[in-house]
Amino acid sequence: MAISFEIVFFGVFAGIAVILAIMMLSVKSPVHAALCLVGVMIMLAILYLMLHAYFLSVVQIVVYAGAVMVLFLFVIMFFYSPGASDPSRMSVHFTHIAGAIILAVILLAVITGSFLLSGNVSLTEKPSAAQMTDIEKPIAETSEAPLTEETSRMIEKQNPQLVGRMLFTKYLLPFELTSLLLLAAMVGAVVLARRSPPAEAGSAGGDGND
Amino acid sequence: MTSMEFSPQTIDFTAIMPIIIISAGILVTLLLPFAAKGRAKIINPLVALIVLLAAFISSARIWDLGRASFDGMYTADNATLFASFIFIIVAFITVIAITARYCPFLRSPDGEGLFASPEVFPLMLTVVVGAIVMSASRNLILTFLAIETLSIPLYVLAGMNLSSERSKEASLKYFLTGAFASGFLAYGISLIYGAVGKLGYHAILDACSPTAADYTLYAGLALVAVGFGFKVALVPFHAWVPDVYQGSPALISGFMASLVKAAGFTAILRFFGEGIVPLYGIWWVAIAIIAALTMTVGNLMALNQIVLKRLLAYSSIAHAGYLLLAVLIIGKEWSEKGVTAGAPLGDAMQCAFFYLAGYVFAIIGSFAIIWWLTPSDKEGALLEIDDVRGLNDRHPLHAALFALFLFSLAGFPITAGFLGKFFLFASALSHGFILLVVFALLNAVLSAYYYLKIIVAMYMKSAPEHASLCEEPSPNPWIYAVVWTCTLATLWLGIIPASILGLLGSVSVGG
Repeated sequence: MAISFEIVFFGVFAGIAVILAIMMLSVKSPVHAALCLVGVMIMLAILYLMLHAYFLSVVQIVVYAGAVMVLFLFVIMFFYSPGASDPSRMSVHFTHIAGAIILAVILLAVITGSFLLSGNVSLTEKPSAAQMTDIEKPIAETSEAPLTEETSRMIEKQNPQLVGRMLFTKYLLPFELTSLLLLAAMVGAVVLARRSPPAEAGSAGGDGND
Repeated sequence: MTSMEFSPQTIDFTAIMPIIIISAGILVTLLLPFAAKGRAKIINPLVALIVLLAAFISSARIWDLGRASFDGMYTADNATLFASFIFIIVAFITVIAITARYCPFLRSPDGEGLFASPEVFPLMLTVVVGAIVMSASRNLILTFLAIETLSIPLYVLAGMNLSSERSKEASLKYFLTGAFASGFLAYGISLIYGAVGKLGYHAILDACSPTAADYTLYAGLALVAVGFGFKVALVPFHAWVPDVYQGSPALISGFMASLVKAAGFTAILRFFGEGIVPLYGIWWVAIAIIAALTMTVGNLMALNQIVLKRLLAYSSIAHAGYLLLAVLIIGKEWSEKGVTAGAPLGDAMQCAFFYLAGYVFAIIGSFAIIWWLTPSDKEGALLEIDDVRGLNDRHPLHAALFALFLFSLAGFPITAGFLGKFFLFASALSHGFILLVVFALLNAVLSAYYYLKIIVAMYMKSAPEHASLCEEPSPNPWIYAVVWTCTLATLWLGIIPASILGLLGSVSVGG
């Protein structure tokens, strides 16, 4: 019974995610598209929640929804230049607020939900000495073997710790590579978005007609 | 693969030293322009060159040691190191060629790619890091991230020529197809993880069983293969190549055509050879069909191209088709013998690497020549075969060198291209891929037609009325250095292959 329950929930949320993703591609306004993207991210966060990855789920909301909101603002800045008589400008304003409220509500629901679901464990709970010494064990098991009952219980208990441990030990190299990747993406965005032609690209840039 | 206690001491820093050095170089070249102001033009490429040299030396120092780090996730065996040498040399050559523009005492060809931004160097170094990690990775997460690290700076580099609409278009097209490919790759990886529960190649190898069909796993593998296919431009995932190579600045096109292909194939050989080789019986048909399609479509499309860069782009697709033979050979070899750590890499890797080494120099040389000949008031993206008519009368040296690179790409004797094709086809033949080799040979003959078309235009036709080429190609010593390096390498590999083959003979799978 529990399984069918899970499948139904998965179907609903995954379905909504897919619909939102399609909408993201099909709506004309970039603002609406960004909102749909936020929706997709939230649905994914709910799926993480169902997989008992509470920490990941919260991070998904905070980081993605946050990052996407920034993207959202950039889109408005770039595409709706001030003064242009754009009929969608008013609606942008309202969707913005509506989106913010919806997000806030969902964020609240997810965070409280994650606490409720994970029992009485709080994120700030200090790990006991036994857990600390034993911490390599669940790491090894989650990465090398299918989840056992015991492992998943341990994951539930120390989700953020586990993620942090994995990130900075076993997956240190991918993690560091990601930082390089993000740096390159940032530099690239700056290079491509630079408005002035190369000839006047600032003192550091040098001129194009040497 | 046992998970050991983690501590900083367990990281083998010598294994990852090359990427640490280059990563440091990225930061320095990124920040230096702010400190050095005007002099950054000279200092920045100089730093990049020093960094690449240091990375080369630190790679050479661990040759034959078979180092691995991060629990086998990153392996610095000789295959990785040889691939790293190729990447570093390619980057070195490209940096020098780009520097030609900054050279203060002589004018350089300004036809396109006004590399005014010093960001080009950190971006190129990032590509090299991505490529090295890609060839060293034995874990799908790391492979995925490495592919992204390689691709994202390339999207930017493709659009580096901010004054050209075509360059912007190339950047956008490359980005969109790249993102699409990453989607396939990520979904495939997640399906594999769902089926196997692990992401290390060895774990996948153990989990792959040719008898028990696991369709989730198969679907995942197929999607990952599609993702790889986009990256190295196999038919039918090749549609982006002509536009991107045409629109990007010529030197960057050369950089992409050589480095990305080399990195992609090293990663493919590793994944297919060390990861999913037990399923050889299932994937070989698909790979064989894709190989045949890739060579044929690439060559057929190249036949009627009149724009030089587009022609080279299609020809690079065809070369990817030939290289797929190596994947089949490695699959056949290792599915019969079984992969053992420390075993010599065997024919397939040797052929593939020799082919790559030969191909890389010829393609970079060709793009460098195109870049060199493009006049400043014209876009290199539009340089046509008609424009190089009678090149021999005006610039005999350029014509001769260009012809040499084209001969190498076509696979004529005394060039590296000939021996590359010879070794690859001979090895494929001895492994029983007779039909495919016949197909590849027919394709090689077909390709000779369009390479020769350019050579005929250069040597046997009279120059057009109004020359649309650079009247006086810059006598810049840097660009001479680049083109001569490519020439010497092409001839050296073609005439004295033993030196490289000896090196490759000792290439082995790390422990």
